[in-house]
Amino acid sequence: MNVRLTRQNKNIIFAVVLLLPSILLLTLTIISPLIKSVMMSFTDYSLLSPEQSWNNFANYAELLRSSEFYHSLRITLTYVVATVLLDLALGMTLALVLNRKIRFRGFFRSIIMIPWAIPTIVTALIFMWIYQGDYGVLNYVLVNLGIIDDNINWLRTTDYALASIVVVAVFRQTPLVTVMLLAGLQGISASLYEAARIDGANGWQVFTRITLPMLKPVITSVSLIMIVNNFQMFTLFFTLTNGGPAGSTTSLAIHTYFTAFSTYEMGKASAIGVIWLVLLFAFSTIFTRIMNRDDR
Amino acid sequence: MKAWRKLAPVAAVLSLSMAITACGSNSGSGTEANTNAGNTDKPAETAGAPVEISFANWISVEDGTKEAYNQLIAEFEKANPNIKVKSIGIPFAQFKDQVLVSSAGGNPPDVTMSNQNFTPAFVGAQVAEPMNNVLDQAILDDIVDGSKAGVTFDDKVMAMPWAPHPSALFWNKKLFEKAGLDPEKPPTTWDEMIQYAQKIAALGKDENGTSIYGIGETGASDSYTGNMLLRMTYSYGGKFTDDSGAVVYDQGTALKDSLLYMQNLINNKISPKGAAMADLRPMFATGALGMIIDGDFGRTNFRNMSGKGAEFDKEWGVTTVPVGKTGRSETFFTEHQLVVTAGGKNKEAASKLVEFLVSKEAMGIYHKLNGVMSARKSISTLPEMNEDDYSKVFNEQMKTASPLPSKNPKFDNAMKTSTDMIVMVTEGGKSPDEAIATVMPKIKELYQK
Repeated sequence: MNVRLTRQNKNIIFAVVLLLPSILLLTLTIISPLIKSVMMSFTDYSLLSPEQSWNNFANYAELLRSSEFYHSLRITLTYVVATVLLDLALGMTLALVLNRKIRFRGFFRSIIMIPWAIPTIVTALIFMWIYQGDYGVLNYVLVNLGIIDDNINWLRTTDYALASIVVVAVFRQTPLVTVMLLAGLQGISASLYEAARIDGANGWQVFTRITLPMLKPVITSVSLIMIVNNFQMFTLFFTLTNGGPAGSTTSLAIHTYFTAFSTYEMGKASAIGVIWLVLLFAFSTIFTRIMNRDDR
Repeated sequence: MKAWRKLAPVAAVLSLSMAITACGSNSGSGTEANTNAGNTDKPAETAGAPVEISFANWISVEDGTKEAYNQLIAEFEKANPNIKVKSIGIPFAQFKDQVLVSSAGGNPPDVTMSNQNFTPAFVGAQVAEPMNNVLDQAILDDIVDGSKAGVTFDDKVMAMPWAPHPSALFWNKKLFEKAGLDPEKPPTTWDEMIQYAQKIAALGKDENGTSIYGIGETGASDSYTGNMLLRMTYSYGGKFTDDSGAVVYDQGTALKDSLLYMQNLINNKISPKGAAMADLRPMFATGALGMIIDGDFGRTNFRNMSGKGAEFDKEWGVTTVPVGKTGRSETFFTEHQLVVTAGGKNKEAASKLVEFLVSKEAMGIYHKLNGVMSARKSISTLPEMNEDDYSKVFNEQMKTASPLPSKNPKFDNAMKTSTDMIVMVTEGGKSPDEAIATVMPKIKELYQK
């Protein structure tokens, strides 16, 4: 039997063949664990018992009644908002400076990426020493400058622990924001700035009427990447404070970890993961729509 | 376009082959795993064929104990040429979780290290094989009573106690002298210890501007700090659970007294605020702490951390924990334990490793290098295990040290949660009563789940 395929069918088959390896890999590494996790979230599965049975949405009901869940959500949101806003503000400032014709521009553009290149865990360990209460360089500098009277244990004090983590996150992430914004700035046509200057626009007007609107697609993408990344942040919280002191840095990631490995409730931990996924998905959709509204 | 048509199928084939190769490497390991699985039915070592067993541990990744691990395994492999030990070194902080996850995923190590906080979880998760099935009864009968009670679940010994670590009091002789105290006379009572600590803290700062503290009590948010709070409560006459396993931590005044003690130490800068044990040890080794309560591995740690080696031994002394309200030297002991996993593929070889590690020969090596003690009656009393004052103090301390009441798998989490009370009274402006009323219901709820 001689089957003749149309050109369109051939293209479809060809596309499927090309995509198949990626689809297989994604199914194995992402989709399959995701489905397993969603299924687990409807059971009472515990590491302490091989039995797992359907528990009638009890995990979700318990979570939505739990003050600890809302507490960890609040901590996560505070951290994400503070980190992303600081990332953007500092990243924009640095990108604007590096976009100007300053001396050693190439050198500065290269070294700015160093914090991003260092693994998160290494950055966390370095800052643990910087923040160390009795020997840390931060206290040494602040005490000698007369800014504080006595050493502060930054990571073990409820008032400062979360802010200290935000500082580490900003230190590590700002370079990426800077580089992405810098790439965006370089894509803005010089003729626009020239025209604005001829029309008598001042620096602020040029920034708000030309630079910001032209950078909007980049800012949207960067913000979304940063929000999603920081929402999932585990390494910094786990390494620097392990959720303490007294739960003041227990983010959703840490809460999920403790639920899974301290109280061994894998079903409940999966339910936190699912709620978290839904929240992120909803947020990303709304955020992208709002940011793209004017473009349509 | 023609070039693209030629290249595209090549690209497709290449990407497919890469994916297949990736899967292929996995199936390769699978085959290897199956080969090992084959050994289960007919133990390879009995047939003379070499067998590899995996040993999950944290001592091979810690500087202080790495050398002991290497020597112990080398000796074992020399004595058992058909058995190779593959080390799975996991940092202590992630140890319990990783062993639980790999076991739940059907890939348990053959032997795993454990301790009193981890074993209940391993038993609860059915990771542990009863030791009665794999070790000689003579060895089980030789375990010291306190240790044996801690590893017995439903009349079955579920882990082999290896090296008990009672905590005792280390003091810095130089700081004692500077504070006008007799450097050769450590405190003998709890009140005396507080007085001495106050005098040392009054020194303020050293010549480099580093703060000097009288005593280092942990105030971090980890389960070890919870264990230390429990130790203080023992000295004030309290306990965590009653004989039926119900939480009675908040009954009586012991917990309140312990929190007041911590509040006094931290708010008056007699002890550093929010410090973890990992912070306190280098502080003691560098002369910033007058006293610290730590385990028998302290000597090795302090020698390494001070940078002075054995020379540093002249600057400190060790004694039993000062007597508190109960009239005896109260402390707890942590304990390194060994577990043969229920899902392990080579139980016979695994039991040989455990048997060797708790033997006189192995404990001799471990004791010589790290000063650890044995949990076996016949070995702990040997002259070579009591050759110096240091060993004698810890053997003496062991007589009054209590095992951690860790039978409940949630004990570790309960200990971590209990540290919230320290934070509340030291920086949250709460009274001990308020802190107890806030935190204890959470701990009790945890135990009821």
